Amino acid sequence: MNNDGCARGDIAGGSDGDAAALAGCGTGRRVSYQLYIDGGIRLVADAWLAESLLGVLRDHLGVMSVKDACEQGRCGSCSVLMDGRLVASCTVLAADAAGAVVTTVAGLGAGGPARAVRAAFLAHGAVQCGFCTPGFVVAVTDLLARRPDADEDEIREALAGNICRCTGYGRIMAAIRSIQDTRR
Amino acid sequence: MIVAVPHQATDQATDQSADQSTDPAPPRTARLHRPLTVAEAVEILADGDAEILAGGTDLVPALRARQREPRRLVALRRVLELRSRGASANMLIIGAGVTYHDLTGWSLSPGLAAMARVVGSPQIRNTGTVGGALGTANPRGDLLTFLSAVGTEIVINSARGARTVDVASFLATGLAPTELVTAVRLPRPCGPQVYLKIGSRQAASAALVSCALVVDRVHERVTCAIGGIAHQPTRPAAAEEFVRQGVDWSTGTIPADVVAGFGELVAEAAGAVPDPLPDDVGVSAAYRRHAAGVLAARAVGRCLPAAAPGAIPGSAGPGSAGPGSAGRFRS
Amino acid sequence: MADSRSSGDQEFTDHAAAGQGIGRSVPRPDGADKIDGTFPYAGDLFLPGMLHARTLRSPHPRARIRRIDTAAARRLPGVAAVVTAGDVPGRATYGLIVADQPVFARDVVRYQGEPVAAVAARDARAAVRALAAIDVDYEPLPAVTDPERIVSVGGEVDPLHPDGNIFREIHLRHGDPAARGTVQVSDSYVVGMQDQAFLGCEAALVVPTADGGIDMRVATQWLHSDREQIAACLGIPEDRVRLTLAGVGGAFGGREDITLQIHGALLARVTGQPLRIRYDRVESFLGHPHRHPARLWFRHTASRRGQLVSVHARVVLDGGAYASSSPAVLANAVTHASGPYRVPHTVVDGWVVRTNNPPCGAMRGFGVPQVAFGHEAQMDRLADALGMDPVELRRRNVLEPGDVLPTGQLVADPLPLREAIATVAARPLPAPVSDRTPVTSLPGGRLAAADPGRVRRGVGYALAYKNLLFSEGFDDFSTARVRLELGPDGTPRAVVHSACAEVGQGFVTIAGQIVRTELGVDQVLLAPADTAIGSAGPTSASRQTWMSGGAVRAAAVTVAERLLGRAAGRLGLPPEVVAEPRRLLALADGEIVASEAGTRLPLADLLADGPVEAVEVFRHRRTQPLGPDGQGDVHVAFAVAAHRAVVDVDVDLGLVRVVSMALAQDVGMVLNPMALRGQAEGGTAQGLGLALMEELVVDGGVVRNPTFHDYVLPTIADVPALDFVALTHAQPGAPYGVKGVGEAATCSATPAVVAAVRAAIGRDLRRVPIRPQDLVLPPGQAHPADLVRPDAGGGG
Ligand SMILES: Cc1cc2nc3c(=O)[nH]c(=O)nc-3n(C[C@@H](O)[C@@H](O)[C@H](O)COP(=O)(O)OP(=O)(O)OC[C@H]3O[C@@H](n4cnc5c(N)ncnc54)[C@H](O)[C@@H]3O)c2cc1C
Ligand code: FES
Ligand code: FES
Repeated sequence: MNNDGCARGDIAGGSDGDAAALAGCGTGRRVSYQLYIDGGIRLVADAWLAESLLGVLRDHLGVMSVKDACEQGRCGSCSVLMDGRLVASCTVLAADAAGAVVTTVAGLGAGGPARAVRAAFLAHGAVQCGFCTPGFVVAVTDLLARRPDADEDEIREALAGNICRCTGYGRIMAAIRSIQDTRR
Repeated sequence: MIVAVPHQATDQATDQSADQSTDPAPPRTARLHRPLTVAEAVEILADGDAEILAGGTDLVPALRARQREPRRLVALRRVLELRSRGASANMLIIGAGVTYHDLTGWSLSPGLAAMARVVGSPQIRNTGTVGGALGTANPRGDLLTFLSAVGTEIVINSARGARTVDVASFLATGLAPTELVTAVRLPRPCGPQVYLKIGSRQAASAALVSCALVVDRVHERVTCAIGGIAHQPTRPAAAEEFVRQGVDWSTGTIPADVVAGFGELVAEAAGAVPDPLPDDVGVSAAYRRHAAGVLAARAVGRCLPAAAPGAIPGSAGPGSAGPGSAGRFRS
Repeated sequence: MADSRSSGDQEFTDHAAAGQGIGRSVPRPDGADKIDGTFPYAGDLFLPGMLHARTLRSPHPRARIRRIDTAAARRLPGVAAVVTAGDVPGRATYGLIVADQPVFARDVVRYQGEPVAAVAARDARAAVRALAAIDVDYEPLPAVTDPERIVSVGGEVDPLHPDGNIFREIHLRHGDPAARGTVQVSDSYVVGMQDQAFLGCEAALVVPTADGGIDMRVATQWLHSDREQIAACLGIPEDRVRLTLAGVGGAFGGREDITLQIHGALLARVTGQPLRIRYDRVESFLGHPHRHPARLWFRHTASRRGQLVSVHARVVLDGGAYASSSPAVLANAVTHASGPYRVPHTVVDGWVVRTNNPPCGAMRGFGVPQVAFGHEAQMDRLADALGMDPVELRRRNVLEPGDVLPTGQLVADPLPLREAIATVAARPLPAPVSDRTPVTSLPGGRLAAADPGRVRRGVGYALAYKNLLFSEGFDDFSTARVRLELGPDGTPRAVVHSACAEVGQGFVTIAGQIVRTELGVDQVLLAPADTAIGSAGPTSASRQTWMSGGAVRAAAVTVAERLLGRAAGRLGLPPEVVAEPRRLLALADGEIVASEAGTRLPLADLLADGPVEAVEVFRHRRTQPLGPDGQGDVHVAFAVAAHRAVVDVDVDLGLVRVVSMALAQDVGMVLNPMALRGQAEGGTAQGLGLALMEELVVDGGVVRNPTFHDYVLPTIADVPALDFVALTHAQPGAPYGVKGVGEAATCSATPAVVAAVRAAIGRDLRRVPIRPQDLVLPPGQAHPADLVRPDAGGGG
């Protein structure tokens, strides 16, 4: 089994040229690979293969802005963009994210829509304990980039995967509305 | 923008010993394959002790909790051939790697699009796939319920070749561990289709009960599946037959008493399933049976105008505009 | 000022020279870091080389422990320590009010999830492995899970704990127990178990210190209470236990009790190494106390004209396995049981009992949301029985200053109940459902199952009042230090030090606003909350703005006083002015101004002589303990809230959508309109959650849904915009006349939503959360008859 695994790892890892395939051989089940995060390449060394992107971001790469409230895809506090799409990083296998472009709140950029979202969240009191906030900022920035004129119904639907326990969502809606108003 | 990620060769010997010193039972999962083609994928599966990883929405949390520990994972993310969806003269073909998000705007199948829109949250719709839904085969799965109503063929590949089964037998027998779902094939809509779902809140909720209903004007029949009642979607055969006879197929209208009778028969069928799901945390089985009847009656009412016509808002199917619209879907 | 009313969006009077003083919508000082994700929460902290600690919990709600064998776990590579009950060097138990909860279960476990052992290991995975290797031999015992049974047998049979099975009982008698009005309604009600479900799970970082103590960074609501309990259980003096607040991801009462603190401290001392201990979501659900489930019975009687004559009530709270704050929660439930109404004759019998269910304690509202659901349902039914409008019935019966509460306490301060209910009743109503209503805006939302023809609208009202601060004679206080100094850049700045736990409520913002207002400086620095200063009390009971805000203000005022004294000396003014400098000097815009001479002295000049500092302790007026018959001047003050809820219900499917909520809340004065609104909206959403979806389902003592998968929380699609009106009547005795704003809205939101659903479907609702089957199935089929016996109402 071990030999078989190594052989396959070499084949899958080396011969197809892309080499994004990964192998941990023998009983050494830790693997190393690289992720493309917020515009930079980060080496993940000695991770367990079965770890989620959330776990690797936090525990291996120290990206603490990605929050862990449920680790089941139910709260959105771990939201990131993966190849431009909003995902819950706790439902993504980290090793399978090799080769994808991962964007956390820090990678949304200092300007543009993300800047407006940050400013509006602060100015409108959309932050209390703040645990949900980075995930919300990613989700709201994504929404406004795709659908700048989303109506209330669409906004509420698009953010239903992000739970906030503190604000009752009122100030979050107010922040989004203010961004839409200034654009108009 | 794909970044080349060179394989990090590690010293096997030291790696091994280091691991054994800290963790006497490290997680079994030791290898991730990322094939580029179905052929490669099934070849890897043929070696056994591997689990398929699609979007990961079901599997990754299970791996974290160590509820599942396959020796190897076969990721389908890079198998582009699984990501396509298309249509032939009579059929729609959807690759196993297609996400709910990809389906939400699909004009060729408004019913499927309506179903996909009510799955989970945007995060889940962006990640979860058709193949994953079939692999998990959750009795409340929205896709399963929909596919059960339309009558779907599941295309399955393994190193020994391809086979095709209908959705009911697929759910009854399941997959061999060496098999891969590559696509589902369903008939192009020949009339209105709706998907109605009851959840525990206004959005981002699993189905407590759901109903998919499909009208086929060509073959003049109505098919229906109810999710959340039994361990797989329930097809109420007697109710389907009752409504087939009750519809005035020349005008495409349905009398009110047929709608009501249909609902009652569906509730009855829901009460008679051999393997009912137990009471939920919040919702009793009795409620789910009741709701099944209500949903079914509404579904048929949304698809087929009443003898005295009046469009009902919110119908997801094209047919709510009236019988004429069905022509668009004739092949 | 007395009748001024401000919508929360309006800016309130700006007292401050700088635009950041009280009354302004000042943004949070920690907001930018929280938005960027750089704000460090307890679970984000780490030290290189730290150990990882985990807790082993009982799978049984009740069992005898025959043996615990940790040898195999200890032998595992990477495992640094395994501790059990035998390793606790000091007091074996802890608790907020009475220390009845073992640090680790020794001979018996009393609830599912009770800690039995804890391990520290080189990494998290090794810690989890070690837990699995601990061999506990349990002999499961039949779990006692029905609180009614405990009440009926008097609690003495089969004691689950040496302290007995009844945490507290209160029998309140006020007026003539035999008095009855001509119109009567009575019924029983059930409240399910709600969880705080704060998003940031429990975590702490612990470092052993050279003096045999520990340093701990922890997410908590009350640093000093944690310290006292940790020190007692470690058996070391309190000054060797140093706590600093780590970033807190929400609390809502769920961090008032000790959870992982003692376990972490113990492991750090045993191993001599720094470690992090933390919970995941499942452990968080099992690890902290919840809101008490309640069984209630009420009989309300009134005159034909709709004057309440009597309220008889029976309140049974399930406290679960350990006391936590149960005794205080019961006092609140009993004393608020008849609601904010003038009731000449009141009889309330209340029990909070021990069972083998999960422990329950503090959650936003603290005993009041439970009874508010009951008394407001009763008021609606009474209105029906009288043929009277529910708003009118409430208006006729509301308490006013000069009235006497069921505890005999006199209502002394403004209590704008009539104004609150009239205000929400007058708010514009949302448009009715029409053909143009998108299906996504119907009940069930996006899921599109509703039929507009089968949707009925309902409008419901609820009124509630909630005590502020601690009651029953507790000597509560808060400490704060303010120092005015020159910053590194030579400009004056204020440094504020308080042990107040910022859990999201915004104390950090308010403290800065207060200091800016009192001292006129722009720069305010908040020192970390820790135990190096005296206690600030807990972040609960809506008390921090009043108590710690009061302490900060008092310290700032003293600093100003001392500064002016220094200025008077500098200006060579006579000694009587130096002693009472405000007679001639004032602090304005960062300068000292001598009113007569017109001399101005910049702050920076004065501070060149060194900083000016003051520490002050703030206390509220004393209250009395609850006497026999539940009488006494027990509460410091009250806040009032009225909600109007508008709901649509699909009457065939039992689906509910909350269309709009209006809230009028009595806030004293507005310190920060934006933060106030956030509290009102957040409190409303949690009340809505209890009404419609949130329940931790416990079956035979076992929690069935300890995950976000099936503990259902409101999403942004479930909570409508809140039409909020702040009612401002200055509260005597409170800084700036402010009232705590965290809780009142939670108390009235639940009953308002229930009232609206009842109005829509014309069916009495006896249980929260409301489940769809309660609305559409025949009552007997929807849920078993209430276990509360209607005839058990005590009193004649
Ligand atoms: C927060 C949340 C909300 C959800 N809400 C809903 C909802 O509302 N409605 C609903 O229906 N579902 C819901 N789900 C379930 C959702 O995860 C699945 O419906 C989804 O389709 C799974 O797809 P995936 O690609 O993520 O599967 P994965 O997690 O990758 O795989 C799931 C299983 O299928 C197997 N598998 C994957 N692909 C194949 C294949 N091609 N052939 C054979 N086996 C395969 C895997 O081995 C695994 O056992 C929800 C899940 C979460 C986490
Ligand atoms: S932690 Fe990923 S969705 Fe909750
Ligand atoms: S601000 Fe606390 S969870 Fe959103």
